[in-house]
Amino acid sequence: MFDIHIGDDGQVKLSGRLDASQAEHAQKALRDLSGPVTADCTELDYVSSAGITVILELHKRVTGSGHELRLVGMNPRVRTVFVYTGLDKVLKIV
Amino acid sequence: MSVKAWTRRFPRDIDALDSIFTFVRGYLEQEGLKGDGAFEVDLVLEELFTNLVRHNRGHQDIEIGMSRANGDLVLTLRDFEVDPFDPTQVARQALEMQNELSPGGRGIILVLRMTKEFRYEYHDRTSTLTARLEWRGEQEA
Repeated sequence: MFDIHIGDDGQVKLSGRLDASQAEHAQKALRDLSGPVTADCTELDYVSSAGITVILELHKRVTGSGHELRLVGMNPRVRTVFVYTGLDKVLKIV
Repeated sequence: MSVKAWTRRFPRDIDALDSIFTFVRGYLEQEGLKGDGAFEVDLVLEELFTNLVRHNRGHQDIEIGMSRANGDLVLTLRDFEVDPFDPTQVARQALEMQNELSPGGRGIILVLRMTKEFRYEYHDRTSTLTARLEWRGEQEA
């Protein structure tokens, strides 16, 4: 189960499991965001390479328009996935 | 602790992931394995399964097996009636050419990082992937 909530002023909340079967849903939900974005990952339990690709696409779009994507509240297991792929050096994870 | 291995075939469809994760939970429960270790098992299986679905031009269901060896978890994925395609070669290349912003090989890099052993075999038009993981969760006595 994966859920995404997009609030005002670029606030996004990701929760559940962002796996390959949910990637298209997440991609569609996030595709109109282009300003500064803060993604609350506190309740994100799982992410795979397919989920990372969705987040990276958002990162490219947001930074391409001169803004910043911040990923906050990531649990250690999810963070490990970003570390193992080297994306902790590219994305702003706080 | 049981030594019974589990195998089951899954449709070569990304939407089979939920069933695969349920299969994993069942096996871990049988083995008395609890806690955070399931995260890595799910991740390795997802990456390998989706790799087969996307890159092997097969038409048959994919067989997944789970077993134990000296405390480790051994995952096998068998894809029938397919041409040879060695993801371990892709993995080595992806590691050498790792570019954080390129999507190529990211999943297979995760598999390499999370496994003690990752092996590919091809016989009689069947590809077999074997991944061995150290169990990092809890174990019931």
